[in-house]
Amino acid sequence: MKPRQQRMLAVGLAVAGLAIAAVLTLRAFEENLMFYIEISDVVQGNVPQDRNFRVGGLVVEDSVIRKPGELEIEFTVTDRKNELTILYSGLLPDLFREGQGIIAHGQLGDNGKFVADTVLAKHDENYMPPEVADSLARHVADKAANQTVAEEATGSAE
Amino acid sequence: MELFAMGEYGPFVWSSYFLTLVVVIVSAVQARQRHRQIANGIRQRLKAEETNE
Amino acid sequence: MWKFLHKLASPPHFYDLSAKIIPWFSVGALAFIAYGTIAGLFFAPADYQQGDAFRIIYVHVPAAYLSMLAYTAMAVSAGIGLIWRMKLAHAVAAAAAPLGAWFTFLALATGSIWGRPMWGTWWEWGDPRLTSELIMLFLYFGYMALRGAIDDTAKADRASAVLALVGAVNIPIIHFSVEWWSSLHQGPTLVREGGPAIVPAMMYPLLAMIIGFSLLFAALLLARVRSEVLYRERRTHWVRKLLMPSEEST
Repeated sequence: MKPRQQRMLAVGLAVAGLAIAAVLTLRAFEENLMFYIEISDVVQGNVPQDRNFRVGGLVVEDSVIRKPGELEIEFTVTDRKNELTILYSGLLPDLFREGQGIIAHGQLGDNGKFVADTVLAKHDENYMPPEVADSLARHVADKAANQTVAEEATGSAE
Repeated sequence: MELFAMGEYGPFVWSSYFLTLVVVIVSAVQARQRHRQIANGIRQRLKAEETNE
Repeated sequence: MWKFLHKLASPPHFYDLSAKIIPWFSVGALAFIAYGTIAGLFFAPADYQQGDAFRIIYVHVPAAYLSMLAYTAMAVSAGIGLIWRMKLAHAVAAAAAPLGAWFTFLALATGSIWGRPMWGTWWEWGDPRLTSELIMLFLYFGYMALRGAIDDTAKADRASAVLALVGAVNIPIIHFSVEWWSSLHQGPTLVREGGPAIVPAMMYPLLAMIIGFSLLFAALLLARVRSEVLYRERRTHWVRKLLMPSEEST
């Protein structure tokens, strides 16, 4: 082997070795640091004992209950399969609203409700002015309505 | 004035733009200074060598 | 072609040529950034969810993009320098590091300022996008510290090049972190399946900012490489001729 090829091989091996090390580190990182539990698992009781963890989901429409005069708030999140009720008292991010994706950090209480010490709001990767968002929502609604009409039409024809 | 209020997010928007301006200026000044430093250093050495000779 | 590249890599020729290119890049950068800033702050419509807070995107995304571009430039140059023993490549790697560190800092800081009102937190430990970007800042610091610790330029080049290449595994991790793990940070907006998820009026200023910042980075990088070249060639005849023209005339 020429010296240059030797150097190439050495560099290649070093990079490969470190890539493997990084993958292993990240696997550990994924399991420990994140501690993100799917709602479906939380509902089934597959949660770590005596340890805080994260749950994430969409805030269910009309599920937000604010007790008058108190900071405490109760709402339900869903992963479109299962639902979980979250209790939280504190300041909410500006993006917190019904239908929004959120991540809550805390523990599962005895009553099956998740007691959060932090609630963070996620936003999606879409950027548009409100008018576009409105007309987009209207299009989707129209389409859904048309579909129901069409389904009913085919249904009655059968 | 309303244009500069940025809804209720003025402080956040303006501070991030200001910070960007600072970083751009500092990195440009740093690059220029380093060039001057190195050139001056070499000049000094060359002059010293000249007088020694 | 090879002849041209060879000539370009010759230090005195690079030193002359780069001096001519830098002003053009700077003027271009200024034009694009001026348009992007004004259009982004005052002409792009407010976002349907984030209102005016979304305008931070016009400084945050270019900074984050450059932080990764600088690292890629650094690692590729370091690799070329290591394998082909090319001195100019090592000079490029050394010049890219401080710029990359600045833009990484800027991406983290503007992201934090954006995260406070929107997500509800300045910083989220354990979020893969945020953590991997922070690791990159430390990689830049480590690279610069290692270079500073070794006096011999050739040795510093080799040692720091290995570090740069090792750290390059972090680049795909930063990029794909939002897809591989559940993250507070949202997925990509511009480069994604099904086209950009942003309306044109909001997108054009962003593209202008990305181009402007890239030109700025190119200008700053060339300026820093020139200093590196000057230092590395300090004992050569052409540098003596360049810095002490009076001596030559006598």
